[in-house]
Amino acid sequence: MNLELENLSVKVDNKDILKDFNLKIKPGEIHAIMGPNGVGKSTLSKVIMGYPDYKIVKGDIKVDNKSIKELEITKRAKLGIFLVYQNPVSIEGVRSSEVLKSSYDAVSNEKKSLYEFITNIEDISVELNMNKDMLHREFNVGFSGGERKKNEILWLLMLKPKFIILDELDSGLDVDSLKVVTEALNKYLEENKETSVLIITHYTRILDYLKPKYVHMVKDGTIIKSGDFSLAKLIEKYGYNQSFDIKGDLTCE
Amino acid sequence: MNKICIETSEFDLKITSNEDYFLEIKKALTLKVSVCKNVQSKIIFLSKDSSIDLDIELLEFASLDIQGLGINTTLTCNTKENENSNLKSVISIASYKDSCNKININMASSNSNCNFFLNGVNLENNKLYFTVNGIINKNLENVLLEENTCIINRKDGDSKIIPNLLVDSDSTVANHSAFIGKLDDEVIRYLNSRGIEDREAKKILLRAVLLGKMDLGEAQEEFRNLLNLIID
Repeated sequence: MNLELENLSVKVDNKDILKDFNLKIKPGEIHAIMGPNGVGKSTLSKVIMGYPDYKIVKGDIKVDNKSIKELEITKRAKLGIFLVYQNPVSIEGVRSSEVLKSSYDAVSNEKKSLYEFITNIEDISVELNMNKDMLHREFNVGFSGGERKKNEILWLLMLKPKFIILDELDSGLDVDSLKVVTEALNKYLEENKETSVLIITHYTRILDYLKPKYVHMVKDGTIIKSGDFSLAKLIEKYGYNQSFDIKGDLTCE
Repeated sequence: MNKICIETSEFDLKITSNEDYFLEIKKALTLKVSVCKNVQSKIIFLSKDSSIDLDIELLEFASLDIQGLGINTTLTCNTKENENSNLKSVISIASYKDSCNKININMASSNSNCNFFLNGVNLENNKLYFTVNGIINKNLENVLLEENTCIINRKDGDSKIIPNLLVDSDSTVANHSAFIGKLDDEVIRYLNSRGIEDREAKKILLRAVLLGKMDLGEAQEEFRNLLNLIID
């Protein structure tokens, strides 16, 4: 999936959050957005997903050259955009498998019986080193942060999206779980070469496992520097404050 | 499970052995349930457009798990627990007509437990009131009483919870929780981001409020189907 943010300016509660934000992600590319807290990174994920509280005051969002600015959240999900949340919700009184099935029926063109569906998600849960019982428990209730993230990835692998946003995927994941999850993602990307990924992160750790083609540094709601993976290493070495000041001619092709 | 379809206005259910019951209540009913000494039982009930006047008595060492769904139902419930008895109750009311419900939980003897969950969904702009009185009498020991009451307003209904704990004993644990609110927008948006439309997302969440704490076994499908019709 080709995703383009063109001169995008966004307000929330009348406050400017993104300003003249430009980003182009081609099919099969992995991009990383990095920046300190409060610069608009998570806002970006909600804007792409279509959250109504985030008002686009200027610019456009395009998928495969078509504007999706007016499209509701559910329609964007059905187009193939998938957001892995930093803090996934929990829902008491509903089994995980029930929620996943409702989503699958809404999004997928393939029809599966309940038995086929449960078998499928149980197989995926094994791949992610999840306890199968978790699928039959209340959605994310009593799950650790890492288990909730794995549940997000299980959902992703089930829906087979074309554009993936990973919002701070590594937060709450121990190193073993991070390996398992990124292995599953890399395998998925290998099998679905046109799928694009936007990684939103503070830290470079996840980028050692999911290698981005481009890294973008965000400050005050806009991209101020772009480069390849070496930009991430620069940030790791100097921190954000110093990196913002370093002049460089690292550019994306 | 023994299935009983009740079409009379009064019904006495005396439970003398460890058996379970599914009661389908067809009209306004005065229902007396008594669980005999040393007996464990489970009752599931379903009621639509009827009022229920429910009296429950548990004799010594009796145990009852009662779970029920009332659609447009007004419930008056009085419970009495004797020594070493155990009552667990999960009752849900979904209503688009005015419904004022009153529950009196009378912990009459020592060494007794009661966990009472009362869930409501106010479907339109009607009244939905729950008054829950938990009474623990003097000189009792080792009594545990928990009242949990919740109402979700689907629209702008007039909902009220009046929880009371009247405790006249030192050796007890008594808690209550009360919540009135709407469905969580953050959760709805999350489900939207998974392709689930608003209507279906709200159905899922309303079913979770009304049925989530119940263990209905074979009755699950019947309850869900009825709820789907009502919520739609």
